[in-house]
Amino acid sequence: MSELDTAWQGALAAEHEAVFGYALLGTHLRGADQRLAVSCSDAHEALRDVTASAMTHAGLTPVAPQADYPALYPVAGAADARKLAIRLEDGGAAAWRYAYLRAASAPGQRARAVRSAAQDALTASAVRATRWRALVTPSHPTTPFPGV
Amino acid sequence: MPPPRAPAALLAAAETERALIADLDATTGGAPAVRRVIVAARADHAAHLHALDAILARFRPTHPARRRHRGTPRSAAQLRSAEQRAGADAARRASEVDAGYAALLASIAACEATHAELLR
Repeated sequence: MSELDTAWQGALAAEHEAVFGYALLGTHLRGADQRLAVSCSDAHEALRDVTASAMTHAGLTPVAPQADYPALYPVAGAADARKLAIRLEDGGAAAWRYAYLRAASAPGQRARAVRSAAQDALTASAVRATRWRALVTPSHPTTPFPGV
Repeated sequence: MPPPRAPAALLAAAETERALIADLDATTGGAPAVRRVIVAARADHAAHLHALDAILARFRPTHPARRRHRGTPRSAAQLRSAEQRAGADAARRASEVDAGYAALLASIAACEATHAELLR
């Protein structure tokens, strides 16, 4: 498997983890926070499906989700849930930035398609992470280099 | 052998960061929530400029000397538009440079989008 394909699969694995993680943390949130979690979860589910479909079209077998993600536990309450959401988004941003880097290093149509998708996904994860950081650390809601 | 010329896309990205910083510095009013965003965004742009200047130092010095940006006070909506434009420009410029620099510009593009989000 090429470095590009490995990185692309890594990004899909991060999306699987995010979908699992939001299901885990969502039960600890109420009101606007819960609505934010639902919208983030929906976005990750959509990106997971689009990514898996693109991989299948490219002749790859999309990586499957894990049965469990022990590193995401425990989530003891709302504060933990918000912090976990930031972790999930930062993880997604890092995976997609790496996919971007590998795609930018490779020739061909697939690389161009992954590169474009990776930019969009990196940006979307960074924006979602910022929405959560605005709740957790309002004086530091952003990071200068998302995905790094 | 002299160092090569700096990629135009990186020079332009650095100029964009300087212009954004100048406008943020000139924007002294605004609601407390907007002020907080301005402080955070200014710190991010300074980090972007620092990273870009560190890369540009590996290349041949450019002439003429850097433009001095006179910042203009902006409304929150104007700042948001400027961040959106900067993000789109960074993503476009990323396609014009080598992979390592491209990934840096991709991250910067994502960061500018977070500023626009906070200024909604």
